[in-house]
Amino acid sequence: MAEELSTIIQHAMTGDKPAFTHLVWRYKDHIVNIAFGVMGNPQDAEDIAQETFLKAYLSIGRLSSANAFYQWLVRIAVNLSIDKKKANTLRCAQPLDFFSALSSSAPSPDDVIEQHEQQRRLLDALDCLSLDQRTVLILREFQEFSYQEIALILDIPIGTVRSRISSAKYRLREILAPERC
Amino acid sequence: MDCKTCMSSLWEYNDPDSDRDVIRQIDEHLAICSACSRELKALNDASIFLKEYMPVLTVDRAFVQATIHKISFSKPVGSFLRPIVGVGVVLSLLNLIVLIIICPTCISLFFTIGEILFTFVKLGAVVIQTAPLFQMAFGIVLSALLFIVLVSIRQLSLRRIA
Repeated sequence: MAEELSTIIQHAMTGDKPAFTHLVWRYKDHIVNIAFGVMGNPQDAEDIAQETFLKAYLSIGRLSSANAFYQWLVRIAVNLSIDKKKANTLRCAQPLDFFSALSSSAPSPDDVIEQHEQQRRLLDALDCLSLDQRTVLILREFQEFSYQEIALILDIPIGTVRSRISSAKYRLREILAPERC
Repeated sequence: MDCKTCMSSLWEYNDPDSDRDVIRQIDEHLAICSACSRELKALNDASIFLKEYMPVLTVDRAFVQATIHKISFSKPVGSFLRPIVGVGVVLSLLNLIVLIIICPTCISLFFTIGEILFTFVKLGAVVIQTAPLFQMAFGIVLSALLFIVLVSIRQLSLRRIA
C-alpha cells in the first residue's frame, strides 16, 4: 500500500494530473480538518485546503522525496491557515455559525443541540489560545504528529514545540474547568 | 518530586513520547498528593473533551471537482514572464547586431573592452605565478561564500514554497 502511494506521488511529481487527483481524494479530509483546527471556520478551511492543493500541484516538482509529501502538504496548509487567520484577526472577522453545515449522526434533536453547544464551547476555548498554541495542539492531538514532525512542519525547535503544547494544555484546562484552578 | 515540579510535568503524563523516569516520579508523587491528582484529572478531562467534541469535517466530491478545476486553469508562478524575457533577449541581440554593423565606433568600443579584460587576465596570471597559494585560498573562500549564498537562496525558496 505504501509502495503504491509512493508510486502515485512520484507520478504526480512528474506532472501527472490523474495521480495528483488521487492524492487530493486521499488527503482532502486531513487537510480540511487541519485548516479547520487552526481557523475554526469550515468555509475558510475548505478555501485553505483548495489553495493548499493548488500550491502543492504547482510546486510538487521541487519536492525532494515522495516520502516527505504528506508532511510537506501539511506544512503548506498550516502556513496558509496561519496567514489567513492573522489576516482575519486584523480585519476583526466574525466567525460564521457553521453548525448548520455539520452533518451529525446523533440520534435525537436534543442530543444534536447538546453536541453543538459543547462544540461551540470547545471552539470558543480554542479561540482563547494563541495561534502558536492552537496550531501545535491541533497537530499533536488530532493529527497525532510526533514532536519531531511538528518541529519540521513549523520550522521551530522541538523544545519550543513541547513548551507550546504544555502551555496550550494548561490554558485549555483553565478555560474548560476554571473552578478547579 | 515536589508539587510545583509535578504540576509542571503533568501535561505529559499521558503522552506516549514522555520520559518513563518522569512518569515514575509523577506516579510516586500522585500516590501521596490529592491536589496534584485532581489537577491531573482536570487535565485529562480537558483532553477528553477536546477529542470528543472537536468537529470533524468531511468534504464531498464537489470539493475535489472544484479543486481539480482550479488546478486545470492554473499556471506556474512567473510563467507570464517567460515570453516577456524571450522577446527582450531577441530584441537586445538584434540591437547589438545592428550596432556592430552600422557603427564603427561601437566595434572600437568592443576592442577597448577586450583590451581591459585582457589586462585583467594578464594581471591574474601574474598573481597566479607569484602567489599560487594565496590564489588557491582566495578561490576556496570565494567558492565557500558562493556555496553559502546558493544554499541560503535554496532554503529561502523552499520556505517560500511551503
